[in-house]
Amino acid sequence: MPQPIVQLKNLDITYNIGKENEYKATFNVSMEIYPEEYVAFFGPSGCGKSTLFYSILGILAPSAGQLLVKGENPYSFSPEKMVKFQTSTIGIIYQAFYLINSISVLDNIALPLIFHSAAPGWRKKHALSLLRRFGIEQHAEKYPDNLSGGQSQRVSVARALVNNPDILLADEPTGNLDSISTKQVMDALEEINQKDKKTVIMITHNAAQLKYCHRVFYMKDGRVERVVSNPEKKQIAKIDRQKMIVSEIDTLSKLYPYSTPIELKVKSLVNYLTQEMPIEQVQKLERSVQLVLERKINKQQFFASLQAEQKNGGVGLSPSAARTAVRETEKIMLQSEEVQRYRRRLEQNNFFEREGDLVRKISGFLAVEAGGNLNPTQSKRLKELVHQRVSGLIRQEEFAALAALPLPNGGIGLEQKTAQRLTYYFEKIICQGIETKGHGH
Amino acid sequence: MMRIQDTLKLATRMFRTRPMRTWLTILGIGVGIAAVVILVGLGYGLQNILLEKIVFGEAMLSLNVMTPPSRVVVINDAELENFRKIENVVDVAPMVGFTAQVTFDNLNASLMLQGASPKYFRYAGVVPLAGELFTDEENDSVVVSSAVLKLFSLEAEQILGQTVKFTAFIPMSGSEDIQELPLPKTYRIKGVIEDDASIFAYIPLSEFTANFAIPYYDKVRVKVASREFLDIVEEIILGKGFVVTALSKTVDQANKIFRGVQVVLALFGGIALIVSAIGMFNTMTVTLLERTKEIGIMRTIGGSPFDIKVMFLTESVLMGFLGGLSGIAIGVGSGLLINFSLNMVALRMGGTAIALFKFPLFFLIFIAVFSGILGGLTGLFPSKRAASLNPLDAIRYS
Repeated sequence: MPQPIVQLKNLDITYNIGKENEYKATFNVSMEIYPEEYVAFFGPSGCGKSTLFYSILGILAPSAGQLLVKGENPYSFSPEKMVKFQTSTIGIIYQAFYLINSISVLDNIALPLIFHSAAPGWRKKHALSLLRRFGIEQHAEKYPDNLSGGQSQRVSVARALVNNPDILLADEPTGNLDSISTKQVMDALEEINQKDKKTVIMITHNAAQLKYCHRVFYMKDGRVERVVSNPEKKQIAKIDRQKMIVSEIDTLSKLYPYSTPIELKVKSLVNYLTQEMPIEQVQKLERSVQLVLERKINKQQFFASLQAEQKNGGVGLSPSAARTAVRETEKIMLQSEEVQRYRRRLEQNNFFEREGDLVRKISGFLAVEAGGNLNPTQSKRLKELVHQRVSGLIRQEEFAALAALPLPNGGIGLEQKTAQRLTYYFEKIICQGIETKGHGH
Repeated sequence: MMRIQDTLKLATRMFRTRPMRTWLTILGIGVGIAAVVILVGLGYGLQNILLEKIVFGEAMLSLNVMTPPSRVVVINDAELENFRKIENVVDVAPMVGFTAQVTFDNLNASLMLQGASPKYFRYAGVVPLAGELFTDEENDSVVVSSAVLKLFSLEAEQILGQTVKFTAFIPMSGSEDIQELPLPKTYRIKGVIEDDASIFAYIPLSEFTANFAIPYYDKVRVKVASREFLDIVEEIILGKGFVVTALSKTVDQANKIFRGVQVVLALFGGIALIVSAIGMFNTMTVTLLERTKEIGIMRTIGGSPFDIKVMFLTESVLMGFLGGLSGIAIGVGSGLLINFSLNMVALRMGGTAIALFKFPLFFLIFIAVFSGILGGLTGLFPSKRAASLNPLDAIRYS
């Protein structure tokens, strides 16, 4: 068992000590990070992860507690030793790259060497070899402001490695990158951890990146809430087997990375109360439905995947349940197309007589859901409400209320339960039918 | 500690990042420096105009000894011999003058006829305006002052080579009587000396000594071995009761005055320079703010405070130095231009061309070095601030 390379003991970090705007950013943080480990500080913004990061870098002194890097307290260093520490012990990668735009890419990488008057010939060769390694050697003579984000971040990774430091600090390294560049940079970091045997400490709030790490320090409000080991990685830190029981909480924490342990427990229980399927099965079902919605598989394939056993990668539904799911899905998808047409016309201001047709069709679907026996006044009122709801003139609650309102008062006069069921179903169609531009991330 | 080439490379980035501001700042310093260059250049020019007539060399090594008006002592051959015997005296060259009548082209005029040997010309720093001075071998040549030309209303070219006759009026020793002595030869005018004020002519001293015994000389030039003996020899001769002046002292005096003039002129230029230095200080301060984030980045990737400081200082020294160079170019250029235009006007109006501005090389080198130092001084405070920035605050600065 090696000695920890970074060791924090009851660390408090306070900004602006003694000033009016004094602010305590971390409380009693203790952690041990081992050589060749890849760890992440994970949490929402303001949780103190960057504060810890700067403290480890040696530019933000803790106000209480102990911080040791390679067994030494960097804040006891002389200025010269501090420079050496920041050069040969720590390499740093920033979210916004922080390249110097007024010098070439090559010089950017060589800058840490330039500060230590390395011989130009060797320096250039060394920097070029790093550029080659990260596949950006053709940009060596360019200036950083001519690079894409992904290229810039790879330059910054190369710069961080130029002095061959023991620890690589990465502050949201992919925060400004698209998905392809993100993958390249994450792969590079993983390689640096595995091949170059560097300790990597990454700050992130992207849950998808946690799978690269050995361990994740979940942080909230300046405290380390929990430390989670990645069961898919061979652990370097010594983990107490009994402590490291992998439970549904781990699965849920991947789905809801920002939730506290108590919220995760709530989710687990609520899932038990409301759904017949366990969370893993729900996830598998979701994957299959996604493929259908994206039209990547057809009805038969969908049915097959639903019916297939879980151990074979299927959802594991009974044939009848699978059939029902396929039928309902298909129905909602078909009906939602009418809503889609309607919305498209609305957006293009292209309303003619067929508007009525579409409303009539959608109302028809709903009438079937409501039991089918509506009188002409009810049908007329339903059409009116469908038009208003699909046009966005009334909200879901208003639709439900009006559906249940007695006929003489201007409603459809449905039973409360039927009205709610109708609204619930209608919302599903609308949800599928509206364009998702500008929604989600 | 960075290599010098790298430091320079980092310090010249300003031409890429902020070319406009950089060049304007350099120009600002340039204008200030130009003001100094042009004013001090004017001082040097004026000094030069005054002193350029004085021939340096042997003239600077000689004392001008005169018989005092009271004639308590007179410079006679015996005294000449005494002078020659004073320690460190190398040579003596006497000059004697008599009122005389000159006959030229059947015109008569009165002038001062002076007898001197060619070495006297050297010791006295006499140079011809036109023609030449006579040499030891000649005994029928005469050199006249430019006032003589005016007397006859002639140009120098018209009088050179002409012949004149003289009648000298020699005071008899021991009495008030004057003996009229027509010189038996005709003399050819060989050269003209610039002096519009006094009418005189030089003939070789031997022309007098050959005809009569000279009672005493008016002046004698006493040449010493080197400049530091001037004071001692002067002291000795003064002790004998003679009147002594030294050209070198006059020159020293003039130089002192002009040094004062230059300081005053430089002070005026200095005001312009202070204004542009404040401008440059401002630029460096703005640059500091602009670079704050960059400084933070550099500090976290291995740049020491010293590296940051050196980078800033190099930048300001470089800017100051380039400002100095451009200032020299502007100053010298406009000085020469003003001079040229003035000379055009002067020549058209019948005057003579003069060099009103003078830019000695050592002065220009001094200005170039000085401007670099000035640049460094304006960058001193910003560079100190840059070096002492907290890396975390710097990197979060936006």
